Amino acid sequence: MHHAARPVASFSSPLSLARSGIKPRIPLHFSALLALGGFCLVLSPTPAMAEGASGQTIGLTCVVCHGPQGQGTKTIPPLAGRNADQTYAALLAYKNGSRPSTVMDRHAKGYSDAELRAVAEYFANLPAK
Amino acid sequence: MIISRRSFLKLAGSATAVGALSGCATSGSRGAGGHVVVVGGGFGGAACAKYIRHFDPSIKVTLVDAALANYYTCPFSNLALSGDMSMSELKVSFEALKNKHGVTLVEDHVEGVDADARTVKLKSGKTLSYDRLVLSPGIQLNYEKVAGYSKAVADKLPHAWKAGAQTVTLRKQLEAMPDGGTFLMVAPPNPYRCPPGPYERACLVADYFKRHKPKSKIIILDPKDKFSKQGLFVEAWDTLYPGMVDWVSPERGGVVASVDAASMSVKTKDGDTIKADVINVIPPMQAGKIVTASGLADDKGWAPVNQRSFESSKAKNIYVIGDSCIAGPVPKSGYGANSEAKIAASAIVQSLNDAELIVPKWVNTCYSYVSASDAISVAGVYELDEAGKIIEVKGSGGVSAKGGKHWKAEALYAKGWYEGIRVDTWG
Repeated sequence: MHHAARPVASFSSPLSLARSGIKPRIPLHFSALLALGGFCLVLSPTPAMAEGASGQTIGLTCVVCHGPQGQGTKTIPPLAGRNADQTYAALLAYKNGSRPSTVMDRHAKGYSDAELRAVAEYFANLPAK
Repeated sequence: MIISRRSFLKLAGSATAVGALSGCATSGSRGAGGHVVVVGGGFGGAACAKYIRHFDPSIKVTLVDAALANYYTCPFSNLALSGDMSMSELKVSFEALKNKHGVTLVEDHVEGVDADARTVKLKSGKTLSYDRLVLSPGIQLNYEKVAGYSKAVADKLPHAWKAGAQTVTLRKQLEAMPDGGTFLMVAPPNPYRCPPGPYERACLVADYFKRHKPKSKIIILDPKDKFSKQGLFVEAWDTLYPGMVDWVSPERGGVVASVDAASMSVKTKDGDTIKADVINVIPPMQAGKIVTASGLADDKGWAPVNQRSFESSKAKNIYVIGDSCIAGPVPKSGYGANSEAKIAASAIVQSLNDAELIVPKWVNTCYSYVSASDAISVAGVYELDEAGKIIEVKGSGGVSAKGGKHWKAEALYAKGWYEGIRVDTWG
């Protein structure tokens, strides 16, 4: 009943299994499939550790400060719906130190360029507030 | 088969259809995907319960905590000590977990775990069966490791290391203290919940004194010869509260032998007796009681876990997260627990669905106030090394720059962090 107010489809799809890299070996339960908005049927090979973490795995650590689904808090800017190229460029600039920051440089240095690209795209695909 | 299902999902992908069809799963009565019991409603347990439901709404999740109606966050509780935050602002509501995320709430105390039968026994006499169990009980305080200290003595010499009544007690004592009095803190040995916490507390109590009781003193007796963000804290004490804070290292006699509530004094191992007006004893800690009582802790009192899934190294189908577990360099912090919760949640969903594990990554960011309007931070990004151990990503993380340049900005970001992590965990 609460889903009427906040549709599961848009709510859960950013958190879907396939995007998180969860690769079912057997089909997921029917209701899970529905709530996941179909993303879990995208088949891809098991990620090797060397490929790094997925955009969602990383993104779910960002939302702690950047607000639910990256929509920002009173003092921390939103990431949701931002152009992926712009977010990626900003993250690279934090990583190489060319963009001044308080804490983002320390975070950006924790990821490969591919991971930064993945998380930029993760947030680009979430709805802006 | 895949194509037809995908087509169906596309058709069913409207909010109404999905909402109606998944309603049966969120009612929590069926749990077609299995039943997960989560013990502990803090940053680890609540986030884990919520994200299991997000990752797979067919899983029934039951969250058990004895203090659901009375839960306060430890982060930001030092601001309550300085009078800059109210207890009601620290309070957490579990309503959204129940109403928005379909988590079944049980306000009860967990008395025991039967790993073979996969059941937990509650104080009320009820028994809950589980497919997977998550233990996120935080810490237990080892009162008996400080001579003269006990749970009863803590009413007079508060630890205030679990936010709530103890926070209120310490705040009242600070308010009642005369100007020119002494606040003495007995700092804990490693490892413990919230590594920068004692030193943030010293800053905020100093800020309160500076505003209201400027002749007062703060003594920190410490069994450690170094501590989290030390350079930044010392810089803040020297800059903002010159001469007020005396941090006593072990070398200078900081190791405590005993405390005495009757004479309001502390005896050090070096033989000195120090009297104070307010004494804050933060005793040594270990994993939460349900973890140690269930035989899931090592000889040092903390729970070893598989570093990729957080499944206990000592029992199958039981996952230990948050302060209680050993997670390498990930600190015992709210953010750390929240980060572990999401990795454990996906591992649990994966195990119930017989799926592959994701590549994990963890993050921590801890802000500490050095005054009510200034803050510093420590951050870290963590990954698994080839041997399956959690390590900090080389070159990442670290503490704020020295010089106080970002104190004001980081105080604003700290507020944003608090708002964000509360919503992410309980909202």
